[in-house]
Amino acid sequence: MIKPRDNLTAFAFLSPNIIGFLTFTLLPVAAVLILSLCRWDLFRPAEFVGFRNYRLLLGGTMRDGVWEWNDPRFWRFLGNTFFYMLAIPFAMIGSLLLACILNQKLQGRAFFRAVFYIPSIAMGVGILLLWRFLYDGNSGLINSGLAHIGITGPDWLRSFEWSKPAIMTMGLWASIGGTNMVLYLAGLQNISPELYEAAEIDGASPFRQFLNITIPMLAPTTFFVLVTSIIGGFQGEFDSAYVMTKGGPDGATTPLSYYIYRHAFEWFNMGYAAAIAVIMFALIFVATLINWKLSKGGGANV
Amino acid sequence: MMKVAFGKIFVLEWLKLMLSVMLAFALMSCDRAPTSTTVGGNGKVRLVLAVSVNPKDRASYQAAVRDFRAAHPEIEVDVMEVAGDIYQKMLIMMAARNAPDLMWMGQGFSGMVDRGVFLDVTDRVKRDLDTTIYAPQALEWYQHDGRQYGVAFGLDLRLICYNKALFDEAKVSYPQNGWTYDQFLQAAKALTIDRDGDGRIDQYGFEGDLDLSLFNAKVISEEGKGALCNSPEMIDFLQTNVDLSEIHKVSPRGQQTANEQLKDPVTTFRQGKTAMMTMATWNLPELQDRCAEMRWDVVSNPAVRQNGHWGSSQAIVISADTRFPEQSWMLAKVFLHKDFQMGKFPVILPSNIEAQKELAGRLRGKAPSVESMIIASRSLYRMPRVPRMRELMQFWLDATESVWALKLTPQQAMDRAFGQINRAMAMHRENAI
Repeated sequence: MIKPRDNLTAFAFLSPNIIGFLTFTLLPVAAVLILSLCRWDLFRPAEFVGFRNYRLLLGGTMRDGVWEWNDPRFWRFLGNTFFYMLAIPFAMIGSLLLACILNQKLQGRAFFRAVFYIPSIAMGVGILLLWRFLYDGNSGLINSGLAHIGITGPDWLRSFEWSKPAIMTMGLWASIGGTNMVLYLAGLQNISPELYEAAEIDGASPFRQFLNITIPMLAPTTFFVLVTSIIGGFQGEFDSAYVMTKGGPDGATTPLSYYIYRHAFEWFNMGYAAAIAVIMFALIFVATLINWKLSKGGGANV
Repeated sequence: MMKVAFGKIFVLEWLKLMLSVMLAFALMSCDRAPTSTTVGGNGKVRLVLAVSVNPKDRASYQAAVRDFRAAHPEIEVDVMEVAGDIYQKMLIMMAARNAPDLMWMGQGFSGMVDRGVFLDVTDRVKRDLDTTIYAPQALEWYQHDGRQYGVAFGLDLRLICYNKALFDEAKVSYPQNGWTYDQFLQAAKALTIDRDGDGRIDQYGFEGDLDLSLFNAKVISEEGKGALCNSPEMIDFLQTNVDLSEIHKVSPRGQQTANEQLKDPVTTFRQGKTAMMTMATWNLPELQDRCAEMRWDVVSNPAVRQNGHWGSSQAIVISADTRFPEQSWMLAKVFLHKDFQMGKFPVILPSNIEAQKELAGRLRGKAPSVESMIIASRSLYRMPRVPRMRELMQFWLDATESVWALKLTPQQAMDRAFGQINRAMAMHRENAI
C-alpha cells in the first residue's frame, strides 16, 4: 500500500525535473505558440495580430499569372533543410557498418570505439572553425592537397554547388561514429548469438546473416535512430551556418533554424520567428507520426 | 479509500506548489528595473561601460577608465568587454531594461536609436563641447530627428592596403593618394603573376571590391523611403568589380565583398598572394602585428566615377535608462579627448582634428599612413540611417553574392533585391511583422 509519505518522497525526488520541464520547456513552448500570434520587437508591448504571421509566412498572391510566395526565403530555406536531411540515410548506413565492424573481436576494439566517438564529443565551434580552415578556397588543406595532384578545388563554402555538400560531408564525419553508432552497437549486442549459429548451420553466408538477422533485429534501433535523426535534421546545421557560412552564398546554406534565429535575434521579429518555429514543430510532429505508423508494420515482423 | 483521497489532495497541493515556483520564476524574469547601475555600499556611484573590444585596443579603454577613476574617486566604473555581436547583446540587454549605463556604438546606431533607448545629449553637447574641433561626421552620424545622441571618438574607414615588396619586384611605383582607376588597373595587371607558369595565377593584383561610393551607388534612399539598388550606378559598381576578376583577371573570383566575419584578409595579404587589398581600419593593428617584417602601407581609393570611401564611426553613447546621466556624460567625454583617440589609432582615425594632425606629424613616413587616412576621411560615405537597416541590407548582400559567383547578372540580382527591399519596407510601414 502506498503511504502519503511515499508520495511525498516520490514527488520530492521528481520535483527538480518537473519544475525544470515546466519552466524551461512547457512554459517556453506555450509562450512560442502565443507569441506566434503576436507582433513583438522586444521593445514595444506585444500586439495580438491573429494569424497574420502565418499568412505572411505560408501565403502568397497570384501576380501576372505567376504565383508569388509572401516569403520565398522561407520555402527556400525549408528546401535547404530537407536537402541537408538527404545525408541521414548515409549517416545511418555508415553508423551501422561501423558498429558492425567495431562489434567484431578485433584487437584494440575499445580504442577504436573511443576514436570514432571523439567527433561527437569534440563537435563545437572549435571543430567548425577547423573545418572552415580545411575548406578555405585559397589556403585550405583540402585545396592544397588537390593542387598537388593538379586539381583546382572550388571555394567550398562560397560555392553555390559545393557549400551544402561540404557541410553535409562534415556532418557525416561527425555523426557516423557518434551516438547512432553507440546505439547500433548496443542493439547488436542484444541479438542472440544462437540466431547466427542456427543460420550458420543452415549454411547462410555472412551477408545473408546480416540481411536476414542483423537488419530485422535492429529494426527498433533503426526506427529510433531514424526518428531522432529526422528531428535533429529539422533543427540541424544551425551551428555550421552560423560559424562557417553565415547562411551564404545567397542563402544557399541557410537552414530553417538559422532563419528563425535571424528573425528573432538579429532582426527582432519575435512573433514571426515564433510562427516559423511553430511550423517547424508541426513538420517534426507529422514526420514522427508518419515514422511511427510505418514502423508499426515493420516492428510486427521482427 | 481515505489513503487514496489523501494522496489526491496531496497531488493537488503539490501542483499548487509547483505552479507557485513557476510563477516566482516568471516574476523574477519580469523584473524590469535596471540592474547594471547601482550605488555601491560605500556610497559610490557605479557605472557600467560596455565596449566591443579586442586585445589590440583593450589597453586604451583601461587607461581612459583608470584616469577617470583617479580624477573622480566618487565614481566606480566597470568595463564590460563584449565579444561577438555587440549590437545584438546591447539590444537584448536594453529590451530587458538591464542595459549598461554607457555603451560602444557604431553603424548599428541607426537600428537602435528609433527605439528610444539612448539618452538625448543635445543640451550637454552644446554646454560642454567645442564641436568645431571634431570631424563633421562625428556629430552628424549620431543625430536622429534633429537630436544628438552621441559624438564619435573615431572614424572607421575602408581603404587600400598594398605590399611594397611586391610593387618593387614588379617595378611598379607605389600608389599615391588621388590616383585614378586607370592607374589602379594598370598596377593591378602588372602585379597579377603566374609565377610557376602552370596557367594558374599565384599572385593577384587586387582582392576586395572597389567601394559603392566610388560609383555613387546607393542601396536605400537616405530618408529610407525606398530601394535604389537597381540604379545604373549600382549596376556599374557590380559590373566593374566583376570585370576585375572575369575580364581583367586581376582579382580572384567571388572574393569581392565576402562576409567580413568569414574572411581573414590579413592571412592572404601576409602570404603575398595579393599585392593590393581593401582593408578596414580595424584590421590594421593585426596587420601591424602579423606583417611586422613586411613593408606595406595604405592609400586612399582610386577615383572611379568619383572619390569615395566606405565609412563608419565609433562612439560611446548613454543608455536612456541610466540612473546617473550626468556622471555617465562625464565619463563619455573622456573618450572624446584626443589622448584617448590617439591611443586607439589605427583601429580608428581620431575624430578630433587636432589629434589627426598631431598623429600625422608624429607618424610621418610610417605605415599605416595617417595622411592617406585623413584624405580618405574627406570622401566618406556611410550607410543611410534607416530603421531595420540590417534586415533590409541582407537582401542586397545576398543578391551581391549571386553576382560575385556569376549566378545572376548585376541587373537580375539588383532587380530581385529591389523588389524584396521595397516589399519588406512596405511591410514594416504597415507594422506587419
